Amino acid sequence: MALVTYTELGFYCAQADLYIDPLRRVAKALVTHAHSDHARPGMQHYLCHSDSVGILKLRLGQRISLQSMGYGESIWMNGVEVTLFPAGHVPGSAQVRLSYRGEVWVITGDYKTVGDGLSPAWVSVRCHHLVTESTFALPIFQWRDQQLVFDEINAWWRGNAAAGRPSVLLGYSLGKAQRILKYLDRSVGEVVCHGAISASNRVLESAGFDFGPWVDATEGLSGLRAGGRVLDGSLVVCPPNALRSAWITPLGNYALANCSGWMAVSKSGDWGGVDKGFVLSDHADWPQLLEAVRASGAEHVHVTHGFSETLSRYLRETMGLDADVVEQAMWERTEE
Amino acid sequence: MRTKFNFIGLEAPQKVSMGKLKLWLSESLGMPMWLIAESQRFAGSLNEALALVLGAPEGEVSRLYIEQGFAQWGGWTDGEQRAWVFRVLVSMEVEDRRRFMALLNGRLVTGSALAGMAGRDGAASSGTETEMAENIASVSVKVRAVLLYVRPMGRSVLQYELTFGLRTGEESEVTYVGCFKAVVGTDEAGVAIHGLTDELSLLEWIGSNLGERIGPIRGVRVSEVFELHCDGVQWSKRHKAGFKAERVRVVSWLRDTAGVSGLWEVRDCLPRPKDFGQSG
Repeated sequence: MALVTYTELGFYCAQADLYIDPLRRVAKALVTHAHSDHARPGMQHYLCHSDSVGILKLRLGQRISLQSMGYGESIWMNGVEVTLFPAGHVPGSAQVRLSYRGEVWVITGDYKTVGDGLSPAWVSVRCHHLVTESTFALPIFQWRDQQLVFDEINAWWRGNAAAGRPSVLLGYSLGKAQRILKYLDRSVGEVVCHGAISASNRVLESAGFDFGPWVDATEGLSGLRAGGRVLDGSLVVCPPNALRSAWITPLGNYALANCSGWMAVSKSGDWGGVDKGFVLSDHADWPQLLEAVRASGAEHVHVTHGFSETLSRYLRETMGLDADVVEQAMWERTEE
Repeated sequence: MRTKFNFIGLEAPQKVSMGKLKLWLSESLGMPMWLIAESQRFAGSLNEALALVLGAPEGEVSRLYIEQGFAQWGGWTDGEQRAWVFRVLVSMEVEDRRRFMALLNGRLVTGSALAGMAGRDGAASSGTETEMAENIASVSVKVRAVLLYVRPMGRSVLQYELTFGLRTGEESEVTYVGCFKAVVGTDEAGVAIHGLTDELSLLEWIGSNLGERIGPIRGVRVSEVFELHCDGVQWSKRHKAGFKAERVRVVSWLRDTAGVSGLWEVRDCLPRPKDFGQSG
């Protein structure tokens, strides 16, 4: 029997009696990172990287049973060595290495191989079996240097501010938002964060992450205005669902942009009715996915979470690897 | 981000089909055709997929390099043409790649072709040139469109406003979407006003093929295909096709029902719908 199998509850290592990012309640869940499509509520016991502890408690409750470990540290479960390595996806994200009697599996979780200056950078881990995500596994997805993207974002903000118009930038509250915050040019104006992002910010700052000054708008934007803050030249970072609430109304005639890998394709321009799209993703693009597979040295590759059929076929036919698809029923197209 | 390439006055020496461009890029990149097809399926058009799979721009080519390439084109082998096109495309930003492929494909008309039109119908090609020095808002395209409806105009003269459609949908269920309008007919002296060589024959054909009346519009037998040059084509949310044209010239009546251009072929020539990033 393989060291890791895919069950209806998710990836499972029977020897260690350990599930990785399980879909429903299990006894022991190793969570690769704290996004909601990987860290689900209700597990009896959680295992994660130490940088994920605060966010997991924030999202799943302070009373969850949780054990954490650092990158490169190992714990042993019934003879299985379990080690976490940086995945570079968001703060606290980890690849999971499982080793038993000479057989090594790596489950990447979500990852990107290019460093973003916020999360610890991805490292390649040699293995026999690699389970890789494939969110952006098409060659049309090839990211540019992030500094070019942030230069564009800052120029867009500067232009809006000069016109006395607030800017709103959409980004998920864990990872994408803090990555954006880290590279915004504060000489343009103030950076205001939606409550969901503020909460993540505080937890990550207490864990030692630094992404510059920001203003908390948990109590609402109208409160900030009433308090004398001029929002016209500011940049507001909020999760996409904030647009569907009255929270955004006090901003008036704001300019709206989305930061997402999906923005590479022009038809995505209609998603959310944004004025501008910035191509910025925390997932590996096509070249990064191929790089990760090659660097792992894996002979067997199991592809999940995205354009799985496309990537597995390419790995089989072009790279001569034993590759198959492990489709997660719960997967939906999302950045998280 | 590089400055936008100035295509004004450039005309491809020979039409290169999108299928050929797909094959050339597949060979140049060592990328399987099926993978490009998968990319096309998600991107929504082959033009955009090909522009994106090339990744970040590499190297640089001048306008002179392209002019010289077009001049030498006829003397090149297929392999030399492929290598030259690849080098040009790789050097460009995604948006320029899309427009360069449309130029090669004969769907994007630039300044020199418009100059002829300007002499005939007063359309000012300089306006387009100005736009293309700045942020491009509109383009000129050449399409094969099918006549869908006519609207009789005036009482004392024989004139019709024609609505032409482009193809949409899969092959098994092709439908046509009205996209472009042009007026044909005669003035009070009985002289054709549009300048189409067989305009009088067309008026005769319309008269004998009028169909269902829908308000002021009359349907006609959907069978006749025309070559159109459309100027000032730009995105428009108010039009069903998603774009509109400022000026439409009926160049010829093809009397051939095959090969109606797809709606997406015009969309491929247009700047991206909004100010979206490239493949960054």
